[in-house]
Amino acid sequence: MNLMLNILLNVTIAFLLGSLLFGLQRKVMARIQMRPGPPIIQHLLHTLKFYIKESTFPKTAAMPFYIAIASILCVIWVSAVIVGPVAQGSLLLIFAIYALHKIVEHNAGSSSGSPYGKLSCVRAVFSAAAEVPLFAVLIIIYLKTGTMVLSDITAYQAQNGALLFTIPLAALMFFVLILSKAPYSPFAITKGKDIISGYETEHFGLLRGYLMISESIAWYMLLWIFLTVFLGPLSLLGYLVGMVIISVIVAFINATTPMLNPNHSIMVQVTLVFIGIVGSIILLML
Amino acid sequence: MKTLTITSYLMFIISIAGIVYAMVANPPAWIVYAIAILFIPLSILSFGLMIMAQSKKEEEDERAREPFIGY
Amino acid sequence: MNETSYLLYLISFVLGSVVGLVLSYQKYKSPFAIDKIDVLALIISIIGWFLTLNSPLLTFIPSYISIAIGLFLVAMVLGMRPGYGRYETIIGLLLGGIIWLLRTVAL
Repeated sequence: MNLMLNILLNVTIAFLLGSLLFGLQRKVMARIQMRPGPPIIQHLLHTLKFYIKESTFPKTAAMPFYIAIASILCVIWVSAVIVGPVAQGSLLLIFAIYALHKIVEHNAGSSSGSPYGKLSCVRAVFSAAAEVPLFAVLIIIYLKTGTMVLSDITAYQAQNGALLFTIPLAALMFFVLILSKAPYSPFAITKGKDIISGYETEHFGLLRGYLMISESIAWYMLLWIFLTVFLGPLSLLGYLVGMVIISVIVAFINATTPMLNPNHSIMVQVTLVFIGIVGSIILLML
Repeated sequence: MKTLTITSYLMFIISIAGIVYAMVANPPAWIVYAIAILFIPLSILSFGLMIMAQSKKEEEDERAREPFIGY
Repeated sequence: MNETSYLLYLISFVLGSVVGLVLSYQKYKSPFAIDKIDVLALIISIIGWFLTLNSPLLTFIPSYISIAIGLFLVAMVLGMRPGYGRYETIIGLLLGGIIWLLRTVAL
């Protein structure tokens, strides 16, 4: 198939399925709270609604940078779609994209000129404690399989069985990372309601819809990478079922845990990372 | 607002032209990646700026640009 | 299932959800309070789940068209006004699932 058509197809699938999975999360969380909850396409409808709204740009925003930083969020996750499903490239690029996501959260908050944005900007830097597990996961995968390229990791798993069973603590650390990106999760400190909407507070209308599009693609890509790296070669139906199961598990955790304050959130993440790294090294040496 | 509409139309035409060129002309892979990474987000942003809802004429004075006097 | 048909299924699911939401808000004027099963929604749900799970049984339509139509009908019932459509979806899923089990495992 034509390469550009392949990229456009994968970006559209990522956007649609990511929005549907966010809607499914809200539905499951609502059912746990014993109420019907919004329809599953509600997140998609919100995204489109914000996209066509009249939007204003705050007077205190640092002007071309403020729009450019919202574009950079879309740029990095479209390049994640290219590195992942299209080209099956290196995991180090995924690490770089995740680090850039933190930088975008930081700058989107500080460029908007609002105090809530600035608080969220500081918390985004703080929550870079979630990048330590990602780096540790990459190193453990490299020590186990000898490669960081996605196509080679898939081939390794086709021969030697899924990595979920041989390096389970690395999968746990990656799952904590996915959890920190979910809405209403205990580690969601950059968008907590105590700072209104965090870095998104001053992004109205079109820019809010734009950010939501990028976040849907980001959620799909995080789940896709987890399934590819830890469960090996899967068919498209297998990916769909795996993503639905992970979203439902994340929704269960989100509905039953409180949202931790920044210090406690970082403390819990660092504790889980410490257990993960030490445990994985012990398991690798056995 | 006028410069915004002109720039958004221009950006949209440029990005759609780039994407169509990459689909039709089949350039080497790294050019296709560069076009995809730059022009797909640009097309989404400029399309949104193009179709953004405009305020009605009678509400125009309510949208006056107030001077910034600090918090 | 290649990626083009995957996109087709996703789009038909989204469109079916939108249609189901709009139609159900016109039909039901109040939030879900009475445990009544809607017969029309039940029929749509049974046909939809049958087409989605058991499309190889219909040999005269290509399978991607029948699965797309099936997902459209499934989403119409799944995406109804919140609270409605639960029992219809579960009954349709059970019936389609039983036929799928008979088709793949038993025979």
